[in-house]
Amino acid sequence: MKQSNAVACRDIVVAGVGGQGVLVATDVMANAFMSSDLDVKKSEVHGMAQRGGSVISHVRAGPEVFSPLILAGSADAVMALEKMEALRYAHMVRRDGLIVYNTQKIPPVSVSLQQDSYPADIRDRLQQYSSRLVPIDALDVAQELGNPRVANTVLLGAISLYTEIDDLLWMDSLLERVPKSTHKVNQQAFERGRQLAADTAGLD
Amino acid sequence: MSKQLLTGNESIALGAHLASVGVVAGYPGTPSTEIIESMVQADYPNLYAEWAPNEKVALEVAIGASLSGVRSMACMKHVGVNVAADPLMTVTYMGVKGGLVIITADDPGMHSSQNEQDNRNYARFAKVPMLEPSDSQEACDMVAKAFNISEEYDTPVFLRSTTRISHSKGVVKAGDRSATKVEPGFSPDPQKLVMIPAHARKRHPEVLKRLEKLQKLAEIAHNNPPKLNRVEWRDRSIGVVTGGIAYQYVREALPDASVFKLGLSYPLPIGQIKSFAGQVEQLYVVEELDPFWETEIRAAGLSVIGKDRLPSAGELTPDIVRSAILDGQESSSGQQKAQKGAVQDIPARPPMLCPGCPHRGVFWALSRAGVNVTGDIGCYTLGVMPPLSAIDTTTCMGASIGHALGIKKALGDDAPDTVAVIGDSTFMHSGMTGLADVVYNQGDVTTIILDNRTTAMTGHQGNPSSGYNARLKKAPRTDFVKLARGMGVEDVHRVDPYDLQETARVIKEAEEFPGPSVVIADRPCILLDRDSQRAPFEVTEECTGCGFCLNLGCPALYRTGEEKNAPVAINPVTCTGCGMCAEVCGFSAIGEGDDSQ
Repeated sequence: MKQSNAVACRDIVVAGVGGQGVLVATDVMANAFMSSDLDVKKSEVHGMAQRGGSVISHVRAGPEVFSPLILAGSADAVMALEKMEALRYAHMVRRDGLIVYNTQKIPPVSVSLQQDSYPADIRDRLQQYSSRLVPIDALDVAQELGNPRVANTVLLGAISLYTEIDDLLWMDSLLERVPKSTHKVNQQAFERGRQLAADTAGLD
Repeated sequence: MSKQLLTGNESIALGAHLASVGVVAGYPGTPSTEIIESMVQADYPNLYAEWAPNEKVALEVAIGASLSGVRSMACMKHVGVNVAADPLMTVTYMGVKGGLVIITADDPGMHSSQNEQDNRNYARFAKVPMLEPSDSQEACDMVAKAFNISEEYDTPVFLRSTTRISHSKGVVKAGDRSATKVEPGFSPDPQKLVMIPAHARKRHPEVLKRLEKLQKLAEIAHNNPPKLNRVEWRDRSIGVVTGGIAYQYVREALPDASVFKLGLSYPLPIGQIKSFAGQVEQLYVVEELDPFWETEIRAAGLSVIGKDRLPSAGELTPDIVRSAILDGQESSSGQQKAQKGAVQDIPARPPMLCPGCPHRGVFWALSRAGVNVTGDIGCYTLGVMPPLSAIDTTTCMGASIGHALGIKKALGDDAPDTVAVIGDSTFMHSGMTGLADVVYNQGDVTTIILDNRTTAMTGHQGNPSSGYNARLKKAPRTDFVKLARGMGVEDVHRVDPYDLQETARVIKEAEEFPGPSVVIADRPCILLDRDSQRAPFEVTEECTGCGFCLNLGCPALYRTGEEKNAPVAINPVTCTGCGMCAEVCGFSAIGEGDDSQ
């Protein structure tokens, strides 16, 4: 299987807004790693933090994984389901790591109330953490496919390109975790995301 | 059996099944909730599982089952053990018949809790052994070990998890199923089971003898079954005593260090730790929260580095462990270290009440009524967040009503208007006794029961007022109106919190009533009651961008631009069509969406 860079991502931080589906995305990822015969650990947070707040989950794979938490500055990739959340957790990525992020903005209530402003220079600031950025308008792609809820799947497709997991294992893991009625649209979203990442990778 | 990727909680559930547990009771609380949930979902045979009204009752049910010779388990979060502490401190005298395991799921870092108390202290306090897994596989395997110790030593046994164990997934291979050798049946044994002073005086020395035996078990537990502790020899310049999730951080941050891994958190194998200390150049203790092991190790006369370098507040992380030991940095706050290098100047994104949350209607009314609000534990605690900012106190489960009464009694005629706000599940947990106090001692307190018919925050578990049980089967439903009247409350109201005007009117009326009042804000959680969701509302061109609707704090509402009067829009994916924003809009600029789509 073709890969666009030498070091395959195994330590991945996934961030987003509570309710966006961080837990589903990391379940898919973790199961795909396990099917690839790697040891896997994944940390998640339930309860109050899930109610629309900033959510982070760590996925780690390797021959033997100890900590479910990734050391700051050592994640192979940060995958963010929302643009500002990419910046919030950008310090987790290693120097030459990857930041795959949804360009969709979800303003927190403080921004709508004009007590805070949504940062304008996110892309530039992300570049201070890593030059390997993969911005994807995942909501736009998902809406084109007719279901805004598959935006996460578009990002999973994108990051899949940078893992050692076989595409088929990715797809099995994805379809096992999402409702049957959405299998087709999820499959399309995954493939579109993978293609978009391949296109972007040319710019690296 | 094939390998599975399981959370610590799912692993405890599987381990309990493999240990042939017969009765499980608990009260939902993050991070413990999914233990009972996943046992019910797996539909294990020969298992009675229930949500009890609170942790005290849950433990009492488990004790009853244990005394009947059936393996039983009580599951709760760390603060739940406070509620269950009364039966705990005496069942430790009584002992068990069928194995009795108490799960305490602690929350260092307070991801979803009001404090981060270290429940290892309960093990010492109750003189009960405590097991602590470091990953999902151990969480699964330790349950049977805990049951065996419970039956062999005639003691309840704690199994302590933390958020990072309960909510981390790891690969688990299930072992074989084992059974208890205890015959089921209840046989009266008043000397052991009826703790009148004369009997209890004879039992206390037995507890002390049992603790001595457990200390002997601890000394051999690293190389004999049940193999709870483990010594890992690597480079001997650094030797670390650790356990629980901290073990994983030590392995990550200090891969070459020698480690004394504790799986039996209490009692400690002090003799073995002394021997380990004698064979390393520098001894460290790496533990989350309190210096629990460190204190005992120091008391044994050993020189050790621990909390002088590591924080006692907040979670540990691999980063904190590494810098504390390798760089010799003192760390005052775990949070600070974890955020090293993180962007600091972007807007925070705190959790919020969901779009369509019925609690919003009540907090909207309260935020405009200018009253003091004593709050309680649940999703609705988020009513404290701006812009609603409608809660003045939150302490523990059930505290709102007592706090309101205390404010009224302390300040007499000068007392501010004070309203207690409590959820349905929390009211059943420990609010009723507060209301009894208000009626009995004639407090002029208005209690609002936010009845969304579920225990929402933890993921929609049933409770005695929700009409369904742990197995999602229909159950009798407590009638709050009859209950309040039966307790002696004369002024009782019921209102739909989506109707903002009526809600404000009813709260005012109840508040003005001289004496105890109860208002039941009656509407199911929007996440539970998907059928009541309507088409997303839409903002019309009439919107002046005044932003008044944004004061509802609904995450589905947002401004379309940065300029001061940028019009508001509604996120069609997250809007549930509750219509509260349309109710508050002064320009009729928000309307119902098209339901036909």
